[in-house]
Amino acid sequence: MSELERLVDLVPFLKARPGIRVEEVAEAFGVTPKRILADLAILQFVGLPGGLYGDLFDVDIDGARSDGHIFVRNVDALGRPMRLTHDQVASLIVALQVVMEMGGDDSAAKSALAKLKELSLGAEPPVSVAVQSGDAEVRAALNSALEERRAVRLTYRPGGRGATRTAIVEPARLRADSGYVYLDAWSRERAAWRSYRLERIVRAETLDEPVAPREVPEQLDSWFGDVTHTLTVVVRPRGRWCADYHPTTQVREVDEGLEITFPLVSDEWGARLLLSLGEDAVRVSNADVAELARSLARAALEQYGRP
Amino acid sequence: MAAAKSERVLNLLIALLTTKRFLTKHELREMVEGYRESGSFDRTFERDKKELRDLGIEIETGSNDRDLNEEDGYRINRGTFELPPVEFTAEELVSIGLAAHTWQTSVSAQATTDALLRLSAAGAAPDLAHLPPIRAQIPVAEPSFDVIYEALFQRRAITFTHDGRTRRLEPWRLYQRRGQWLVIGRDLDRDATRRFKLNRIEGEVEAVGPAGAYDVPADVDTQIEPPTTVSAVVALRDAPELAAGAAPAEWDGPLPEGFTAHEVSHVTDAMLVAEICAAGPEAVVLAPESIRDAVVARLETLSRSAW
Repeated sequence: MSELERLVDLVPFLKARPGIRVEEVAEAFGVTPKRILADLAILQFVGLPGGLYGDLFDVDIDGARSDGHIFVRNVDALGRPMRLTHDQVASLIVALQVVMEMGGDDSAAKSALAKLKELSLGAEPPVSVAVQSGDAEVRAALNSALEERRAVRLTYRPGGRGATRTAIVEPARLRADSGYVYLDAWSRERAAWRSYRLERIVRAETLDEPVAPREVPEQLDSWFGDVTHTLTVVVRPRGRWCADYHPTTQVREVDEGLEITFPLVSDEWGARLLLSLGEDAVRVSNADVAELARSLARAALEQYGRP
Repeated sequence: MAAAKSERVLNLLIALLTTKRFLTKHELREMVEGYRESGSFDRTFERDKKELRDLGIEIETGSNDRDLNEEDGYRINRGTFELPPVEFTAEELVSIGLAAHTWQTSVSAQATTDALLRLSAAGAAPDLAHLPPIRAQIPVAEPSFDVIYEALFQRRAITFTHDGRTRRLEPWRLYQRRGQWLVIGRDLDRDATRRFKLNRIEGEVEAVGPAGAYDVPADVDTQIEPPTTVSAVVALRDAPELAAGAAPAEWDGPLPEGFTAHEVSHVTDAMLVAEICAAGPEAVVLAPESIRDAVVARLETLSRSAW
């Protein structure tokens, strides 16, 4: 934020909060208290044309310096905040859209969003975020369990496929990160924190068991945050799409096309990637993944009655 | 910016806001503190106007009386400058509180902070004291995000290196899919729609040329999510990726045990075949023949692949 922009935003902010402390203002604007005092020194020479006493803003700069409280008067010329810019409204709208994907009852977020859209004269933000938030019923059940502080029996598919598992957990928080919504919960069975991707939860039953609040760690891993293995595949030009489609750690040009390194979530994930690439994959760094892909292809051919 | 300059520009802003009639340059020179002493008034005045316009402030130009052949003057319409009255319910302010820290880094985080300062000054401070345990996050790890974000709102072209080539792009939208940021726009050298994953951009992105240089096409959303035009009837067992976007299908013929028929759609034949192959033995194409043959051919190549 430029000095000019800060000063224009500062005047209505101070007017709305008579006696606010210098430190609080500094924190809200992300600058030092010294900077705020310097801003006040500028504002005392600003006001209606004429520059006479009574035209200028009345800034109690001595008071602010001595007891740390700020009072401004006679600032009506700049007393209302400026209209929000397009990018300011857009950043809030996009954030609210993610919040809406997480809540049980999203009516408040929805109506706040509608009001903000009005402020930007209905313009659609040129930025969008897609979040996988799973089943609405599961989401609603988790939100109410969180609100009532009760344990939940989860039925979920680890890895998103295969047989379901159940676990009794103490929900602590819903978290959206890198395109997915997670339930961060204390697993009773494991006696540890676990994160469950919402779209992998089939059912969430609230139990009649109150849970004591626990301090949930600030940071729990995202779906590929804890992946330590990688898979490197060389693809022909026609297979370039997979570098833009999947998360990658490195991409470079080679003679045959592209050499792409992916975080390897599981061997099965890698095998499915190879199956989707077909003959466009030229070389593969991991023999186990390659063999798994071949055996999945053979199993699939059997379904078509091919040996 | 020197204190004297901020002071002068603010006084200019107030003069333009508090006038009903257009004020000529010469009137402003007399009225606004700091101009009379200025040796290079014309240049200073032009720069100051630009400072205000850069904040998103609209300065109107016009003449009070055309008949008298009066010189053009300037004014700012308070109605467009100021935030219109807004009121949020207590629940809406909690939602906005949740949105407050959704963007953590990047220029969009700054845009949210600035927006909330203005809303707070209008009496609509976000409620940070009653937040439910929901953490909405939009991570931005790509260093090129900020320049593209700003260019997007200014509608300015950008240039960058991708796959070793220099690209010139008119950015239309920034969007996040599976946690990755992409930009879509018109590639100026190819005169075609192109999308780029931000973390594959090499080095710095630069904004080039004037602001407001192009219009974003109205159908940009369908270009981001192209309509699915090809489809196949596929028997699915445990194939969550395919089942997620598929509709149940009628199928009179025999089905492998444990499978149900679905209509699976995609943008192109090649992408449809790739996705079906990725499901391995969990998906069997029933119709049409052409897709079935393409899938079987690819699986046969895969089962014999040398990697």
